[in-house]
Amino acid sequence: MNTQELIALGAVAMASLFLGARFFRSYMAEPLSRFFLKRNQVRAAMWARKQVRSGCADCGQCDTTAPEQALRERPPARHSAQND
Amino acid sequence: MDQAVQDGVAVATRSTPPVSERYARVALAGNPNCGKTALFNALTRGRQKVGNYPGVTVERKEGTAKTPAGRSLSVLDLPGAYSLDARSPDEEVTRDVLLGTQLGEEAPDALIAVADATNLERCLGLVLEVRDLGIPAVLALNMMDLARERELDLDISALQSALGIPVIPTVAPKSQGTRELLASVEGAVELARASGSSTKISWRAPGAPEIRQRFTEVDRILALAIKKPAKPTFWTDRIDGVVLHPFWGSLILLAVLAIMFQAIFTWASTPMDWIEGSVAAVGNALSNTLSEGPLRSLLVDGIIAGVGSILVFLPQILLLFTFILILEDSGYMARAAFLMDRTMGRVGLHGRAFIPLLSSFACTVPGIMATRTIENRRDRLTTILVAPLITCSARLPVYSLLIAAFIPNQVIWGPVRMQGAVMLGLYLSGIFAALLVASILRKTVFSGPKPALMLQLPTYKWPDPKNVMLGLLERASIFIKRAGTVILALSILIWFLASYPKPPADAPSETPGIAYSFAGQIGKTLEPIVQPIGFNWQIAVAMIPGFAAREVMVGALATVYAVEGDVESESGTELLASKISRDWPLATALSLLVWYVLSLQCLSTLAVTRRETNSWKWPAVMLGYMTVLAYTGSFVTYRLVLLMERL
Repeated sequence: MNTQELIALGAVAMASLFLGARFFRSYMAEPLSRFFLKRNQVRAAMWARKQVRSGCADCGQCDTTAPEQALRERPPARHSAQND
Repeated sequence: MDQAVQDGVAVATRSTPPVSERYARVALAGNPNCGKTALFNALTRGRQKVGNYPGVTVERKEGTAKTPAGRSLSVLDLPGAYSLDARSPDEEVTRDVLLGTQLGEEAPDALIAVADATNLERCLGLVLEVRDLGIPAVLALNMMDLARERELDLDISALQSALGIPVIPTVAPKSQGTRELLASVEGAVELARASGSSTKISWRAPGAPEIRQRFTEVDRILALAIKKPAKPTFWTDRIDGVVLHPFWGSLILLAVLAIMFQAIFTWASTPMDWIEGSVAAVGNALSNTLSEGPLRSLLVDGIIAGVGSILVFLPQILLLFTFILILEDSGYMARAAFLMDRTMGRVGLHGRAFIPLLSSFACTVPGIMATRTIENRRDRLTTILVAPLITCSARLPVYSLLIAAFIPNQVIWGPVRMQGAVMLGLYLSGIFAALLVASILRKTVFSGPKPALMLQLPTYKWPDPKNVMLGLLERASIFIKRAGTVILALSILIWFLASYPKPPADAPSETPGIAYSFAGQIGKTLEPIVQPIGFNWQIAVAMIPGFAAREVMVGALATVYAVEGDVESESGTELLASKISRDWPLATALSLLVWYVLSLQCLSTLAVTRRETNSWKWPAVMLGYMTVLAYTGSFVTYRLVLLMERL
């Protein structure tokens, strides 16, 4: 393996790592966090939750996952008492 | 912060000032379209898009502002709401943040109620509601320049004493009144803290008598504060007479879209040539500098061919967004929503679906997230499921490449040329497919009544060049960042897959090396599946990385052909276009275009659908129906074109 090939394959390894990490953070970290939480492994769940980033994160409109999470986790009819 | 629900009333008690460095936490609340986001920008100098149609602020936005005394305020931009009696998820967020019952969110120490000075009748209802919460509040009387233009004579001190809170006139785009506003907020917080007592925030959903009473109160305050009412919006009404006309309005909308897509091809060609020339020069320089080997191949065939062929489309994407931003800023987009509501209503889509669908022209991800403004679950799911059919900007490079390769740029009529017309046709096909699928869904799985749309039409105004420029800079940086990260990494990976393993020593010389590579093997495996719709193995290979970013398909094709040795990669997209126009039949190109109009092919869209629906069922349904639709559409197109060619 000559120097050119070594550098080229090094670049391939770095690109693969970058894409792998991005894929993990975008699509796997959140389900993994829930998986750990179900098994009461809170530290692991918190670690996985910290890795989460939203789908594309390119437009800047989806980089705040906290309120979305809160939205989803909110009980659906909290104010039903006064609405009735 | 203590929170509780006592006897059906949300109650929160704030007893101590925040311990963090910031002096206070301030929330901005107001009706949609009252200039709240523009005021947030002016206060925080943050960069955020300002739109003219309701519901643009769906996300949480927080920034920092400095008071004239140098204190730091944390400013939270809340979603637009007409009342605390929420009717949609984003209105619920506003209510819950103000009540201090939103998970993960502290209750604000003070509140800036924002009202459109030209439309106080509509805005004061919410102002009265939030004033009664008991949080220290200041009213920002925004759009005062428009109010003066329309000769509205307001007695600010009368308004202030009638409301019982400070009133500060502001003009958000010019940052007028922001210092006074911040000083007033600081004063209100100081006063509340000096009084020492804890504030009890309480709210109860109003019944009909309370609502009637509030309207009466609004009328009373307006009678006291308005000395001379604003003149009617003469020009806006006259323009709307034509622009909202069922026939002429639709014709104007179609003409605007036609000009937009024509311009994308005509005006973008020169800057595209410049970028293409620069990419080619870099490729040539690298070819001449480096000796033959894997590194040169990676740089020239992988990175330059892959990333370069996508960067070329930057001018077209920026032109598309220039049009969108100007139309938004001028107030025309809300009219387009109104016109489209008739068509959308016929297929059972909610009028509020227009905003998410419009956002989907940029990217489906924020489009799907914007469906939170739709209160009904059936309407929301229908919109989520059809949003990916709207042509996003990532499809533009694929369309442009295929159109440039296969569609002659001949004049159809006047300035209208064939390539622009085909581009418009592709965008319209996406809209048509979305409406068709929505109609089917609403008649079957999501059947039910369609609520009416209440849409406030803003007055026309000249687009703010600063606003448009900021929007364009944001789009350009997104595109370049994407090219420099995901697309670069994918290009490197595709190069590797197309170059390794090397052909065996005894391989016949007429077989290209790529046939032995991973990409060649994957392509050959997939070929039987895509052959019926006219795709070859190179397209099959290029479609895989397209799941990560649709536009990578162009770069992947460029890399595959460059590694194959058929295209002088350093010469860029033009040669790729001429190569595919020679190699592919027209039927394949049209079939691929139909595939790109109808197929999902976007992992981010699936992920955001999963998040927004909190279920894997809907992403699976979306992927399934769109793949079947795209395959059927491509199959029919391919076979029909072949049949027509034979005749």
